[in-house]
Amino acid sequence: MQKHHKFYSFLIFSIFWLIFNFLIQISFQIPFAIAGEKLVTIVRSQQISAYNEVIKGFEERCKGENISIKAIYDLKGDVEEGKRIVQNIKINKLQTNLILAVGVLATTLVKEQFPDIPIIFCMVINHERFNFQGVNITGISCEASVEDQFTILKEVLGVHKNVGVIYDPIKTGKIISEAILIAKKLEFNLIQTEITSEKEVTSAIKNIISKIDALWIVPDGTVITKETIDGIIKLTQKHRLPTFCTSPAIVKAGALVSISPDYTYMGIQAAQLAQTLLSSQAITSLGVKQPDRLKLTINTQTAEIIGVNLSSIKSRPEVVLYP
Amino acid sequence: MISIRTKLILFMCLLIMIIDALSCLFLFVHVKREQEDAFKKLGMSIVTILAEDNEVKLALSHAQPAFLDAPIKRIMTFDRNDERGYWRISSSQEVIVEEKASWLNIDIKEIPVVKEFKNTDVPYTKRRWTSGGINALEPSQNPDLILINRMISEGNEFYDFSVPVYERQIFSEEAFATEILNEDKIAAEAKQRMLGYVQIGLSTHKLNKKIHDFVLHNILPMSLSIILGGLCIAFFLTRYIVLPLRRMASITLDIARGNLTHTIAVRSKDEIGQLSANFNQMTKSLEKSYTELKQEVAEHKQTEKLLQYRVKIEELVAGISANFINLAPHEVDAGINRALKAIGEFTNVDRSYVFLYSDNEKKNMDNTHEWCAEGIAPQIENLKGLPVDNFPWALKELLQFESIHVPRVADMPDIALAEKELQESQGVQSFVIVPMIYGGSLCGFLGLDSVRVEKTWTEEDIAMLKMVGEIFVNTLERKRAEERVKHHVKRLTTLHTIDKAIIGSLDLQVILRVLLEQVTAQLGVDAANVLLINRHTQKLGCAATLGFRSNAAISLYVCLKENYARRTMLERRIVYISNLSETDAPCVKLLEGEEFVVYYGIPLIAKGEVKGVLEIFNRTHLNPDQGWFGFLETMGAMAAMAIDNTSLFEGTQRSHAELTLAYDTTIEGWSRALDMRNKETKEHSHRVTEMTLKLAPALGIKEDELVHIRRGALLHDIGKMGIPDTILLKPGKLTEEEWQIMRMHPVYAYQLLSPITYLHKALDIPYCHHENWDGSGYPKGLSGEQIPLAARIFSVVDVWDALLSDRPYRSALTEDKTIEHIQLNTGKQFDPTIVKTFFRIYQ
Repeated sequence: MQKHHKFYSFLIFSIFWLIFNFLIQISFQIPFAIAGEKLVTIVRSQQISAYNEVIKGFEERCKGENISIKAIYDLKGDVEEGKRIVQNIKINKLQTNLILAVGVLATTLVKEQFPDIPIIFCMVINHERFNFQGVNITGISCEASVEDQFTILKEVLGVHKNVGVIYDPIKTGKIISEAILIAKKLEFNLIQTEITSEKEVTSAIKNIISKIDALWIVPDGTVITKETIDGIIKLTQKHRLPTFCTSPAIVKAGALVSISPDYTYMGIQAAQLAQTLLSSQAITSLGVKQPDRLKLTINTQTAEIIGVNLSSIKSRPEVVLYP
Repeated sequence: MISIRTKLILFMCLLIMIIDALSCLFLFVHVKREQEDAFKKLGMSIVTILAEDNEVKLALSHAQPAFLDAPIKRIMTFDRNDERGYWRISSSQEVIVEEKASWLNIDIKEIPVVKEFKNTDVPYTKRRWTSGGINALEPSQNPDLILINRMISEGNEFYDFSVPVYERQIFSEEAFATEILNEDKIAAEAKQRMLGYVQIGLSTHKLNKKIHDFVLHNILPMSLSIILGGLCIAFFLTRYIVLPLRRMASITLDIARGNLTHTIAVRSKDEIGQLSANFNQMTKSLEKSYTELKQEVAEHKQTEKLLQYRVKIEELVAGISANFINLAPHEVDAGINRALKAIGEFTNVDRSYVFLYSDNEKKNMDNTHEWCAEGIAPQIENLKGLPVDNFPWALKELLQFESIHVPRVADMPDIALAEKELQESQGVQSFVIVPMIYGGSLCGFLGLDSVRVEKTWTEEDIAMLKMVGEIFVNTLERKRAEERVKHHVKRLTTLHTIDKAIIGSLDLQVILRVLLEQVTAQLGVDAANVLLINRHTQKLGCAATLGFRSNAAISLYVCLKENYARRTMLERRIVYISNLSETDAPCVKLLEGEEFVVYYGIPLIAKGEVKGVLEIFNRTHLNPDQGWFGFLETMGAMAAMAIDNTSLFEGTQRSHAELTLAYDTTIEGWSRALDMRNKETKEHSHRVTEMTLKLAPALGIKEDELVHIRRGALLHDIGKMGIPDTILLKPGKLTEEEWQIMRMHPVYAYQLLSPITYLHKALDIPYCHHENWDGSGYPKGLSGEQIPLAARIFSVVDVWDALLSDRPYRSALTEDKTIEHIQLNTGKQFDPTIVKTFFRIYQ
């Protein structure tokens, strides 16, 4: 009996000792932690899955990197609401070391109100249209480079093919200019058709559909609307024309292949950039980066309809098959 | 007739009106649509602005109508045309504020409130109201979820624009980002809260007025100007198009009238110009073709004329030829004259004629036939016996079978002087002559003379003359040939007559007489005689004479040792003396009184033997031809043959008579021998033969058959030579077997006599004299007329004589008994007709 009494006493003592040490450890770490942790505020333009993926990736990457997500604000796509929220952030002097702006609305409002805090923007479609430059502005492009897009295109189509594109020069003129040079380099024949309103989309497609081997759908707000996207998909499928775009949503709607960034990885990439910026003493800009990881989304039903063999790229690890 | 221009104008007017109507309609529709679109845009703009106005959102959020004043005031400024009929702003539950224009005669409460915007696929339901109600016609939707309804109320039409008011407005770029990036759209859309509706009704009265004004001020004037312009264009265009066609029509009329020189001067570079150019070309071609055609027609007419002339010539020649086909020789001259008249009248000449050689030596020519036109003197009598050598030029041409055509006698060459003088003497101005050729030699010529005028004849005329000349020459030759044939026929007839005489008569005198008659007639000589040689004395004797004035002189002449006849006989050839008066022969002197000039002596030679001489004498010179000599020789041969035949016949006659006598004498001898053997009465065979010969002619037997009957009767019982004496000479009755043997004697007679050809015709009596009329006789059992007539006759006679004669086995019957017996057996044994005739003759 005495032996048992001693054992239990020793055990209790050990347990208390461990708890004590643990608390001591924690108490030592917290100040350190509290003393080195950076605060990041995330401003999201609206609740859409793509934005959420980015944020999710960012959060995951920030874990263990001494970066803390202070708050995530949703602007709900409303300008006024957004302004109010951003103003509240600023007025309440909520301490933040870096702002991650997801989407064009958030980036626009944040850039206005926070000139002296590093801002990382992402998920801005066709960011070059907008004046998102500044000493505190860093960004990640929402689209794969034209060269990457055309490389995949070449792999699927082959060389000496005619690729058509419909675009609003006001919105996507710069992309097309770049594409012309890259197309020449990769031995494509780029057939461009300019439009000025969404009403011209259908007739423009009908004009070029017989002259092209594939349609490149650029992220142009004049070309892609709720009404036009169905028409584009129907026409191209009817004529068995492969369609290439920059968004999985359009692949889901019926396009053949999309080359888009891996949104989750974009978040991770943004977290890496955030780490870099936060470790810097001065406020600086790292420019606009290309997304590190791309994914290919393929609509197998569309492939079957138009009779395209994509076996060469289906096996790639970054390929996502739909459905 | 509706002209092309009128038709074109009508057509173009119609076209213009259609175009005008379509244009106006199109413009009207376009303008109306545009105005309506603008109207709709205005409505949509107004209602959208209101819907997006924050004060409106605030008003709806807090149900504060007062907040709506300012936005509404702002909106009213857009309605410059006072088109606003009503407006209404309502929340999800109630109408916050609404107002209508004073001119709108309906209760605003009646205007339906839009509530269904969530499900935009559901169209607005149409509700028909009773009088005074609102008819909702066409709901339409637009991408911005503005619902537009067209409504009519008591004639007023207006558009109702309704739009939901959302709590918040999505930023457009984010809306695009949603499109691009968000795969879940419905969730995104659901997050917008609808606060209420803004509804505005805009009247179309101003719109209609605008359209009406547009129609009045633009479309109608445009229409009128199109019509007027179109009409003017149509007018001038059709004029421009039709004018060349009119010109072409008038030129075509000219062409139809025969004027092919017109051309169309249209130079336009279109189809009309091309048509004009083609038309001009066609006119030229037509002109050329017409000219060529005219030429061709003229040539054809000329050819036709020529052909017609040729046809007439051919008809003329055919007519002449047809006339000459069946022309009798004595009508040939008349026929030629008729033909000359026909060709003279046809060729419109003054004289037509035929010249023929007048002698066989072809030294002279005669104008043998002539026709003269009225008033032209005939020349036929002046143109007889023309020496051909006097006209060497013409003769040379004619001998070369060339025609001579002289259109103008005055222009005849010097070498034709004689011909020229001859023609001029007849007053001939132009002439043409063609040779008449037969058998490759010239017979004469046919000619035409023109006296009154100079004339040129065509090739067809000369060819026609040649054809007529051929007809003439063929006819003349046919006539000569017929005459020769006639002459020959005459001579053949003569020969036949002489032949008949030779055949038909055995009298040499008769024959010689006939001969001399034919000789003198056919040879056309005055006298002829036949002298025959006596075989024994070898002296000539006068057998027949004809034509001599005195037979005595000729008899004396004949008797002279030296005369032409003897010469002929000795020389055995024809002796010809052309002029007896120039000879001194004594025999001629004897014939001085006869005044003979010509002598022919022909030897009569038969089987190489001179039988005599045929002498021909003529008191004028003779010009005999080959045919005459041939006939003379034939006469001589026939005479010789006749003489020879006569002597032969006489010899044959004698031999035949001697032979016949020998035959008959032999038969009579046999007959007597039979009688003696048969112990018949004397001369039984002779008697019955005589009786039969007497009876036979009365029963139709011909004289030349009597000799056979005679022989048959004489030999009637020659068959008994085969009967044995024991039977033949048996005094008593014969037995049946003996009668069978006896009845064989006609068969034996047949067997004996049938090998003798001479006695074939005499077999009837020996073979059948025991046949009976009723068929009960023997040897063949013939009956009726199967029995030869001679046998039937003889059987009556034989029984008559037998019954009247004594036999060894009986005495002779009386004549009455005999008659009775005969009569009894008439029809059984004897032919009734023969019995009847027998009794008629012998009683």
